[in-house]
Amino acid sequence: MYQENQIREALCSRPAGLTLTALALGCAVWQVEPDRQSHYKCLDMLPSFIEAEADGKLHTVEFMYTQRHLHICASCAKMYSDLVRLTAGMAEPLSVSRIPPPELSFLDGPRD
Amino acid sequence: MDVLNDKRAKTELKRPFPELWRVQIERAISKHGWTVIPDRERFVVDVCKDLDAELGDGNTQERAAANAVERAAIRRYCHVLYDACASKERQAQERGLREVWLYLYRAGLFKTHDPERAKDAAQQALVNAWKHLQQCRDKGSFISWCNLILLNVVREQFRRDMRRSRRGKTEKWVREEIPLAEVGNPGEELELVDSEEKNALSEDMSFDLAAQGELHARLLVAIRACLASEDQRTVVIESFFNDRGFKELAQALDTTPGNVQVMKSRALKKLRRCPDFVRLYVEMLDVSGEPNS
Repeated sequence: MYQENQIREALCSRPAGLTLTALALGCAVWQVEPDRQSHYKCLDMLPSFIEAEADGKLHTVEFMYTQRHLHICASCAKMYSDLVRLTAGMAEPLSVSRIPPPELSFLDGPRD
Repeated sequence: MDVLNDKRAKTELKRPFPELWRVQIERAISKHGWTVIPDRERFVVDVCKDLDAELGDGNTQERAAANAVERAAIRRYCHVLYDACASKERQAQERGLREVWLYLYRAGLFKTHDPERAKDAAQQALVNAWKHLQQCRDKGSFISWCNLILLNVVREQFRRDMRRSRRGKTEKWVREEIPLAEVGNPGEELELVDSEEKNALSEDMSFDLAAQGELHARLLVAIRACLASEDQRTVVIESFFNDRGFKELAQALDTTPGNVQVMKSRALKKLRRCPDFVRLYVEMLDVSGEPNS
């Protein structure tokens, strides 16, 4: 356990001798979480990422970043998985019966 | 203005877009029951132009797959929907938001399996989406962006459920979601910032190729020694060394992206417990102490 903690601490400090591949693999194996900013960046890109993946156009640096983050972050990977299923479902007509109406009174108030 | 738009639409309709595209687009509009299209002819022309730009070569126009036409229509519809929701006209806004609601409610049912929860989540997501419309970076993915907001709302609900019902029984699907919901609040944080992360991607390219090759070769040997399952090896190696996505791997292994994630999770657990792999990282990271047994 002590050694595991040492490994995690070492991975957090982004040691110079490791390639990004080795760092990403190490972070995934020892569950070193990415920082919050990485989460936000990844989630921000996710809808476009899924579209680009469906079109076979994942060649940009930004999408590579998103892909690497998805490999090491279980939380964002779950979001990705759900969003892929919902996006695939968009190809089907909306078939839910008895949909309640939305409440739109918020339109009377200001936006943030 | 309407007359001018009409004239432009009629002129552009004479361009030689394949008639099949128009039929497929009209079919998509009927199939999905889209109601927020102010000018149907204009919409059809815009989708044809999008497809034309995407396919480029006129010879391939006729061969555009049916799903490519539908996808283009969905993307263009997302633009229309976004514009309606962002409109200053109350009536247009309401029409747009009622349409978004249908997608959000369906997504809410998919995640919560409960109509009341779905309604609450969709309502919250609708308000959040309207308030933060300007943050949607790609209008063509507007519905996916709204779905993402809903997924976040549901995740927050799960966290509240967990705090409230620590001792009681919780539904299976909530228990499955909660650990991931908690993981969404990271404890350890890497001190990375935007430019550093972008530079890091190019650093990998300039890393001494010989040293990189040797390091990766040793990692691959350790991975093969630690993982008996061929599929698990494939998932780890292709994910981390060849940047393959879940979808690509799922197709290659003839399974679902969800199963690929499960395989990856189990493989990573095995690597964490494998002395050969741990020893390699202890050496690379210059960490002291004996490997865990």
